[in-house]
Amino acid sequence: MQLRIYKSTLIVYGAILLVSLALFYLLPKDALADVVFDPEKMAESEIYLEAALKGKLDQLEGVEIHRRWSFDFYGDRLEAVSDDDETFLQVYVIRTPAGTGEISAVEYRRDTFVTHRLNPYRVTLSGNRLHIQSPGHYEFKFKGFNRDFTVGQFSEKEAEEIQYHLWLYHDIQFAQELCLYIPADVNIEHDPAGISLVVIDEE
Amino acid sequence: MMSLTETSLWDAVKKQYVFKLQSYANFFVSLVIVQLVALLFSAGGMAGTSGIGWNNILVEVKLYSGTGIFIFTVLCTLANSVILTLPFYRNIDFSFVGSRLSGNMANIGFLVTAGLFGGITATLGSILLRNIHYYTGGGGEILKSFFMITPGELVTGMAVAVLYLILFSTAGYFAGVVVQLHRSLLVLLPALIVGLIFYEAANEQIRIFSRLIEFFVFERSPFHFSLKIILIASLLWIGAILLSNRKEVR
Repeated sequence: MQLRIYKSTLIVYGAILLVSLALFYLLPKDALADVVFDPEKMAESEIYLEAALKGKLDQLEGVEIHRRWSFDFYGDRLEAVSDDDETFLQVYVIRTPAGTGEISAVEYRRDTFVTHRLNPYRVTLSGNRLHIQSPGHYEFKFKGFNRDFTVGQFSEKEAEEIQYHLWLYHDIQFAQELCLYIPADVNIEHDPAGISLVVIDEE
Repeated sequence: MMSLTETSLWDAVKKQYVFKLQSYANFFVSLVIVQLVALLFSAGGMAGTSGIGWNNILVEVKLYSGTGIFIFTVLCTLANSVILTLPFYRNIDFSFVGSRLSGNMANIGFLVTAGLFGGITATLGSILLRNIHYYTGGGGEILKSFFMITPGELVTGMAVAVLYLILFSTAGYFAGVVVQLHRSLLVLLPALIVGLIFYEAANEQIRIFSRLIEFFVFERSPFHFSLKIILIASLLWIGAILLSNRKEVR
């Protein structure tokens, strides 16, 4: 009797595993989050950072203009204000030639797995106050699988640790950036607690 | 008139092996239970979490792995192989026409079968883990990389798991036989192993266990890996047989 119970247990368990195996290879692969990890692309992060600090994001391949705002402005003092108290903003400021009388804001986007989920910035000018509405705070949660120890026994690639956080960093870095183009003769003020301005001087 | 029936070694081993498969079926069931427990823990996420942020974007990845199921299987197999050397299980062999040699060989056959069972089910358990997450958590949340396992990788994983389990079960069986030689070894042997681990942790230049682990884990050639395991397992089996033959008859 006991042997029968044991046999039944083993048969049921075996059946569950075999059915699971069949299901695994039948499930549609496009239902998974298609984030392709290419560790070599991590080196591109340096290129993006360098371009951003030189005010040349628009010259990079893969970076496109998502939205542009232009305002006439003839004052000598501009206050940049964040309309979102809960999200800390970082904005690049590129200095344009003095006396142009125009302020513009450009939202750049890079095509990554998060890009299509992002809301746009909103920029308005009221007097000498430039209001920047943040797209909001995004939190993406994923499930990732490490390669099983036995499956990776003979793989050379398993010698390196799977670094999801570094790979994902490449994908979210510069996915969405706001750049302000402000004439060199306009003094910019802002509250550092709410908004960080990275000023790139005109060359 | 007397009749003598000579039983060949192979016949004796076969009979004892079949008997053990049926009588010790609870070993396989305990393996199933342990794997299900491991599956439960693994489904909760035993591999940690990694996260990264950029400006207003935060990405968090909860990590999962089927390695936990394999580790639990190793522990269960190790325990079962030691239990097999206990007097209760050893004395069952005297019910058969045979010798200590046939009894040991039948045990080895049983452990290899258990290793096969454990290795295959542990690897398939990893597939089951992936299915659980896919069908309950939403496929859109699961990162594609390393989720899919090709059939070739699956078969490789199974073979590697089986070989590791054979190695661990042989080591456990050998340790069990050694401990049966003298009661004091029951305490001395574990104390020696634990002491060595602590000593190695405190002295960086001593790397006995680390080198032992690297000897197998860092082997990238399937042929060399298999050869290492088969050779060492064979030596341990021969050692176990020779040591148990030294014991007096019941």
